[in-house]
Amino acid sequence: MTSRFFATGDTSSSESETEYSEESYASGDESSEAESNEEGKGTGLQVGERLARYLRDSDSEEGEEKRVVRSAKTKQQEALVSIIQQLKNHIKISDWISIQSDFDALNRQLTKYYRLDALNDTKKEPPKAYISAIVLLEDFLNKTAENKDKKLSKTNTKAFNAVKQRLKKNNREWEEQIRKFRESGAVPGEDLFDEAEGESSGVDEEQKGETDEESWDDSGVESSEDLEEKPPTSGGSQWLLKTGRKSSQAVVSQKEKKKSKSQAVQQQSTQSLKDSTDSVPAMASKDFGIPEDLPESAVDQKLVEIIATRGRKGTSKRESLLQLELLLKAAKNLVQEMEILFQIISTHFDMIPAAVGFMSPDNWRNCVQCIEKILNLAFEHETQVRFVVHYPSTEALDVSVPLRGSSEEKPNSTEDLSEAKVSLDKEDKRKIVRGDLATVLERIDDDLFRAWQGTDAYLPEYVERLKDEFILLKLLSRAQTYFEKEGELERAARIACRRIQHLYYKPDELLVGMIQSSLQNTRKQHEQSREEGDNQDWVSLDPVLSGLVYQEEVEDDSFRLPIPELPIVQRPLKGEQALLRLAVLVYRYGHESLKSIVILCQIYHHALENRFYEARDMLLMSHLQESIGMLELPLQILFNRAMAQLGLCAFRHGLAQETLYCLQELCTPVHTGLGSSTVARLRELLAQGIVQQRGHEKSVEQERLERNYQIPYHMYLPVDFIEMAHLIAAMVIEVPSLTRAEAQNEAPQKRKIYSRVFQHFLRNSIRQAYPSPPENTRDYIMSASRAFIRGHWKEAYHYIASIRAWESVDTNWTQSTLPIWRNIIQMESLRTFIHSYASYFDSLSVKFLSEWFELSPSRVHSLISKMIMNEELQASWDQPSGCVLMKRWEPNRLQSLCLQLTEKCNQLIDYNERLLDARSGGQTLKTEEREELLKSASHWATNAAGMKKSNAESWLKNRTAAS
Amino acid sequence: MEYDLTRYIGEHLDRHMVFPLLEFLHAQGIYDEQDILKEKYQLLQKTNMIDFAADVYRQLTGNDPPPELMERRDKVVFALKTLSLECERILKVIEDDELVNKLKEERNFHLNYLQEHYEITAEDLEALFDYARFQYDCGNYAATCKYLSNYLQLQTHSERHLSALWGRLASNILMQEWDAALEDMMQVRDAIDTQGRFALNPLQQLQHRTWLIHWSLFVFFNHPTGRNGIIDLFFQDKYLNTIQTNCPHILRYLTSAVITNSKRRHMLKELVKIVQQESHAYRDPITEFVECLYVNYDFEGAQDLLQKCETTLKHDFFLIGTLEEFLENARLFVFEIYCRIHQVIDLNMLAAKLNMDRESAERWIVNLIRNARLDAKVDSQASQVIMGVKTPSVYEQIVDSTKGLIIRTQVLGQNIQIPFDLEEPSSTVTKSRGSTTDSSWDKRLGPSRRNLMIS
Repeated sequence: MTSRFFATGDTSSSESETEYSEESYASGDESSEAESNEEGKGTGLQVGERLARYLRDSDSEEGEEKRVVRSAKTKQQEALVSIIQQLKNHIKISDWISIQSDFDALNRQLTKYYRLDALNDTKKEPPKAYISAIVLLEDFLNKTAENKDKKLSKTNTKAFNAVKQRLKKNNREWEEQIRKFRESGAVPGEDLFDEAEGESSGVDEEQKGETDEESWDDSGVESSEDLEEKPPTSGGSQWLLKTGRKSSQAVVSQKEKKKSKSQAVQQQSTQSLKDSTDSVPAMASKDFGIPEDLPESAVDQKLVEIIATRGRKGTSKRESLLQLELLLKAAKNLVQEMEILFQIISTHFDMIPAAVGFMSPDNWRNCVQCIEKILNLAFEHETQVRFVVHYPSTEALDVSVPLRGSSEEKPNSTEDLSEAKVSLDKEDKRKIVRGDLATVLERIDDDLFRAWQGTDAYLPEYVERLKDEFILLKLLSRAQTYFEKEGELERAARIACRRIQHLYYKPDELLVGMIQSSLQNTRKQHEQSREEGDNQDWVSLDPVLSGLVYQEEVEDDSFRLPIPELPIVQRPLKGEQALLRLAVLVYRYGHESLKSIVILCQIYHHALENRFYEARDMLLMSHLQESIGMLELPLQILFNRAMAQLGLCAFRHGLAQETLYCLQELCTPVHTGLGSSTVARLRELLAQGIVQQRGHEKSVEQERLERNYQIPYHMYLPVDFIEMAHLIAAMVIEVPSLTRAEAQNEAPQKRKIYSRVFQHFLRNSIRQAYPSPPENTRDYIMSASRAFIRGHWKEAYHYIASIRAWESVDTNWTQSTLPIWRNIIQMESLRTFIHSYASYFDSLSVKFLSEWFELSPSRVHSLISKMIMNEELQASWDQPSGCVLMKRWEPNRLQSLCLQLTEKCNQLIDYNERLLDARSGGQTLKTEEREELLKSASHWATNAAGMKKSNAESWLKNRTAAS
Repeated sequence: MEYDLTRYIGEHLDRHMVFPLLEFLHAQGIYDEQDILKEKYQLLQKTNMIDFAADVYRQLTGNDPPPELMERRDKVVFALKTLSLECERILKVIEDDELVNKLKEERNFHLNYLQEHYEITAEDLEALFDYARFQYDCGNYAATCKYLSNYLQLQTHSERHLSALWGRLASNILMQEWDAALEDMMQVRDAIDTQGRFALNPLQQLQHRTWLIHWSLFVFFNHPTGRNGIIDLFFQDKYLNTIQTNCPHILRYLTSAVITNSKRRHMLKELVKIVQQESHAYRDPITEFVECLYVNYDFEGAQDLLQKCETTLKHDFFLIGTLEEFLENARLFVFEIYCRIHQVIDLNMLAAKLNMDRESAERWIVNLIRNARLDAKVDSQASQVIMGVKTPSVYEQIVDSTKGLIIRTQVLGQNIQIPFDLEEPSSTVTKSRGSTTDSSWDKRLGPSRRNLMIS
């Protein structure tokens, strides 16, 4: 009862003498509505007093009569009505000064009314009376403006102009309602009493069928309000409520049918909507009491309410979702509808179970449908806007203002939609909806990504979720088109970046396959629907087509995918072209980090499509390899993927050196134990599965991070194959260089190391006395290398060809790549053979070599010539006989001794220099070390023959220890 | 024509410079004459050389030129007059050679002085530039050159400085004043690299360098010392980058310059590297020849390619003059490499390889031996060439390895004279020890693309 008391006190106070102070208070509080304008104040002040007295009188009478039964709200309504009555009276005598103050009072009343509602958390009512009042005022204003000849007094004119201006401003945001009000045919200023009465009594005579229903529902609202206290009085209202909803649903779905371009999806959507509503128990749905024909301001009110409950304890998200869905049907205008849709989406996001981290497929699809609806609306509205002059063409989706007088609510709703702008600028004539479509799309994309991460790749669910990608792609492409049209290129770039991330890892063949299979599906569907008498162009219905295709006119038909089923114009662009077009958008308008992503995607795709040089040049020009270590994790993963793919591309081209460079870092384990963790390391770097390492515990945080960045299964790169490619490339480079170094007696330290990993493996493998038959990839390659060293290239090739990893990739790859590598192995083994065995021959004929290695004689000739030129081989050709003659030259005893001596001299100087260097370089050696050094030096000096290498090494160690 | 580069080169040339190329193609007769005339006419349409255009039109169609051409002619004449009126004051001074000389002697030939004494303002100077530009369009290169020289002398700091330099270079090229053109070229080169108020951004620099590379072809292949110049300029890092990124077809000219220039033999190794690197982007018989010879050591392939080179060179505007030289040098290259890896060579085979008959091949080789460029003997009876076998000389080895010892010991001695307790670091003997790891990717895969940013 106390609250009721306060409420009444509040209402009456607004009409008391303290009005002026109230006004100033109000003007501070309500920024937009009761904009106090300076001159209005001055005039309003003197008349205000008189008026207020008048008001109080009339009100007290009314109040006396009805106070007993009415709630605080009705009270307000009455106050409103009384003000309107006053207004009408003043209008009759065209007393503009009074009208002005009436108008102020009206607005004040309205804000109070809203505030009260928000605070008390009660159901809201539409300020129908208010609307009717302002319509009345407007009409009168227009009338007065028309017959200007009728003179007004000076003060009156002043007030008239003030009212005119303010009303104009004020009415702008009520435009929709006013229009509706006018359409409903109600007489402004007349029906307010009736309506007020109608609301209390539940009978409405003047309003037609539509409004009739509304009043029924309104009664339902009221009854539901205090359901606990008193049971619903009329069973009929419940019944009405339900039928009303169903019929309207039918209407909605019909409308949607008209609207929707892709009918199949839409049907699904209505179906699921129905499902969701059906699933709700009848009681529950009634509980929310949201009728379809809720007046528009009430819808807003309701929305605010629901938003306000968001995140509070004890609110069921599911419930609010249902509420929103019901509210959606009640939405009156575009802004409302969009806002509610945005709310539904964010509620969906709220409902993500924390344990799983992503939405259920159904929810996800609902979300997508909501976005689609928003997009549809946006597209439609865009055309609508052309007709209406008042709205400039930008019906921006992400600007805001719709919730009048509830600015304090705003942070609540915007916390989610991070980019929502609040532009309260009234001069901005754009109709405004809060919520950033691009962000929402990005979130939904992320969610799908997480769903892929979180779903077991071997379950059918995974495949289902994969199919969702098409829907998303389609949506993204539409959104991009929209943003491009609207000139919001920065957003379009964001969307384009997302699209690229969906496209880049798909080879053209896969795209063709996908499109073809989906064409078949749609064709089937189409045939079915044709039986049902629906004859739309089946191509345009196809989800994949519209999603993957970059619909742009290109002159060159070779840019398009070869899909014979489609006419040339409808064929989608090849992946490269599509990527290029999207990428250009991002490069021009996108953010820096997006650019990095896109360039890596492009590199990846080039590599995927076997364009090695393009990919390489792009990588080199991007300069990413210099700074990649400092960038964020997902980008690093993408970089690793691009590098791996580039390596594979080089491997397919038979570029051993390049393969090695690309893959080396990926395949080198960090830890000193070079052991078994190559693949594990690779997995970790490519984010393909969480790897537990021995003796290296990961923190929870680290593991969580890793888990977040996992790549979904269908994007995996063949890890085994990468390892194999790396090792094979290393083999054909390392083994010849190894044999060469041995043949020329090079010191092991001097040797150039191409792949440390391979050397390590090879050393281990050679150390084995009895090598076992190969089991894993590495074993195979080690066996091959051993055969390789011996010059048995066929055996080596056999080992390599029988590695299982070849099966893990496309057979086309295998078939095209293997012969290349066979050739390389032939050539390199020829080199190896000559290195290792040249010292045992005096001459070798080209014929023999070409037979042995199955290479053409000219090839053998050119290979050996190259070796001679590079001074790898001391030999020369005997052209007439076609033989290569080995040159051997042995120094005699004196000569070799001389050579040794000079070498020692050089060493002596070296040591001396180092000694001096150590002293003068500021890094003095410890005395014992110096002694040791001197000792070793003197030792060397005395035994000219016996300077051991180990001494030098130990010296080096000492040096490093000292420094 | 498969290996005709006119199209690519034309992209980077000034309109006026394309005429010589077209004339050349016309003379070669590998394209349809009508097509070439049509092209020429179209080119001329955009210049102010109306009379020339009318001539070409007559050649093309046999009719009188269309009236609008004549109308344009009047307009051009009118414009020329207006422009010359605008810079009348300055022209008066410049045309007077004596006065200019006098001023120059008195070191008064600068804007301030002229402003005081002849009422010549900066605007006049700019008008002079416009006038020169218009003259150039009309094909009056000599006047352009003169005006621009004066402009450049008077106006030293201006956005148009570079443009004026370009203009003078173009007119010098078109007047075939190669010495002056070479000088201008160097100025342009420096101007591209200058930092300062009117510095170019990297992308512009790249573009300007590309132009310079193409324009310079005229100079290099006509100037007596051009062959050296082209190697020196193009092997600069910046220009090598430009070639690799923007115009790999220039490699043909670079390659042939290296092959025909016996003094820059040492650049060959670098050239081979670049040709190999860019082989995926550009290849023609000339670069392939180098690749074949120095990468694959495929002599027969090289032989075939040499013939292709001949036809290609014949149809190249710039290289036609070097054809003989090229073939001779290429042959020498082949033979040299051949000899280096052979001990015994059959003369008949050699003759076939060298595209000569046996007699002349023998004579050629004997000449080579006589000029002490080859360590070999001819076995006339078996018709073989026997190469002298080089054995590594121990004596040389020992001398080589002990050469540095004296100096090193001297340094040691000097350092040791510094008192023991004086802890001054002597840098002379400090060697850099840290092993450099060449992990950077650029080094391995393509060194010269580093400087290009994607903007």
